[in-house]
Amino acid sequence: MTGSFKLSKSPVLVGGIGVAVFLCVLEIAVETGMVMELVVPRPSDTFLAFPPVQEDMDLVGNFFVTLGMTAASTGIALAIGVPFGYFLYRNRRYGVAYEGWLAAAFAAPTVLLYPLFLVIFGRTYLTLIMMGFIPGAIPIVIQTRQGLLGVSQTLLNVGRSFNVSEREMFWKIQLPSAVPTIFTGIRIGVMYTLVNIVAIEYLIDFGGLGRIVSEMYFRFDTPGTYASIVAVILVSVFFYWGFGRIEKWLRPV
Amino acid sequence: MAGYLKTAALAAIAAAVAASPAAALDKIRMVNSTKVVFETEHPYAAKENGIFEKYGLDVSIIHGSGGAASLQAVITGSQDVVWGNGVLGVVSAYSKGAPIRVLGSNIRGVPDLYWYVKTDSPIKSFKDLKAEHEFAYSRPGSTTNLAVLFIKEALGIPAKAVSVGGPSGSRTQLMSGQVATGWSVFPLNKNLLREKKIRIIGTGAAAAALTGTTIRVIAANVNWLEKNRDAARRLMNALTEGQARTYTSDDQLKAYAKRWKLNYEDIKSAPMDTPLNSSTFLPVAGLEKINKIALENKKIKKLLTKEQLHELVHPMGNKPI
Repeated sequence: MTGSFKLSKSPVLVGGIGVAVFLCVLEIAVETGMVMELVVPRPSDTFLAFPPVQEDMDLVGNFFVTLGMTAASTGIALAIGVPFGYFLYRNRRYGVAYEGWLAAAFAAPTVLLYPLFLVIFGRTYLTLIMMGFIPGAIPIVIQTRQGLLGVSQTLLNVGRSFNVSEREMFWKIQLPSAVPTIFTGIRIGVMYTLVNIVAIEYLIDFGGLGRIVSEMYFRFDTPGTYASIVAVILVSVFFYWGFGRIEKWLRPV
Repeated sequence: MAGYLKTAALAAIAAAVAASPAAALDKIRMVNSTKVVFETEHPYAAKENGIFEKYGLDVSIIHGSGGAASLQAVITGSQDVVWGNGVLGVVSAYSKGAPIRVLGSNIRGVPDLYWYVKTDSPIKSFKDLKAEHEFAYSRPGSTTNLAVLFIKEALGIPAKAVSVGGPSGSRTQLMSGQVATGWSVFPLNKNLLREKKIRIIGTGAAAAALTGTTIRVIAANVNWLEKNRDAARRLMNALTEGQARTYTSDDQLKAYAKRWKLNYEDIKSAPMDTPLNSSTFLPVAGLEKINKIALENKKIKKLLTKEQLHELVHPMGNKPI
């Protein structure tokens, strides 16, 4: 019991042990032929595939390409999504009118629109950024509005009793209260942004990590494919961790 | 009474067996790696004209999304046979230990590929392509990439090879003026040719070094093949008959047009665009050349040995001698 208590105090360690156990089980499953090696490689082979993929396709450089594209898309999504969400909160009728449309647009597979974006923006990074921006912005808009709508009336009344200005009300009461909900939208948005960007890179054979996944897949280089997928996961981990830190900074308690 | 019941039960079983002829047929699961292209029509011709049944086969045909995904389905055993897969992919997968064997050639050379420009383009033929022009291909290491490299070499074309994705992506980028050329495969985009929106500047026949070299293949999962050698042989014979029908029957061409919602006028010349002498299932030719191309394109890490190339090809389903 004492041991499990200590583990629960170290969630990172518990998570790491869980991943290590999973990888060991997978290694054994592939080694014994329970899992087909051509479909899922040994984790050790995936690890060993990093240097050759780096040498052949510049994995690290392309990691930063995908990271940069995702950051740019998310930046635009934030710059447009949060103010638009606030606008929909302040103008309730617009909020009611557009929330359903936004939810429907979020559920739509916008990735299939890539030929249209290719026509508009060409075979450039701008296509990747814009295709990442759309699915990223929608949850941010929706969650910003929901977060602001969910601010406790008691807190607002307390603010009013102190005669705070509109600006102070927003920065000192509404925004801190809405931050967890807004960040839920941001986390969802950044994941959709990353998925869309990698998918387009894969489809049009252009850009960063998605292009490498595609190249390795078409070579039937399974460890190389998984090594590049691990790099995509690292991009995702980076954003998840980064936005977690920003959220804590904005709302320390 | 008991004797009567026994007789009735036997009669019922016999009637059930007689009523389900499919039960006697060998089931084969085939994945077709490409839709619409003319040479993918042969399995449909065999299926719709009772040729598979004549050979004791019940063949299901599904569509894969491109070569790698289709081949993966056969490697994992979820399908038995892949139709029209790029030979480079098969060689690459085999070199990594994939349980895959080639039953026959699907096409030799690339006569069915063509390159086009907008009608108002000053480019009239391959030879007009200059250094500033984009020479389109689908993706690195693909058949179209090979064709472009061989055409550039054969004709001394300085244009830069550019990856534009599949035929539809290529068309979009050409028509929106992003690239100077587009690539396609007969009979796709024939409507644009008919409407004089685009003009052909050359075909894959210009890749003379690839002529006679097997480019796409019919391949099977080796575990399935070892257990179903006779069914594989019958399959290839049925497909040969299906192919003969596609090339000779006007009704089959009409069925082809109807299946893919193509204009019959656009596909009438399909048997000439993809000549029969390039798409007979034998020989599986030029594998030594493919071996070298696969190495140059990093599809394999070292050249396959003569023995490996021999093991890879099971002509018409027969074990290599």
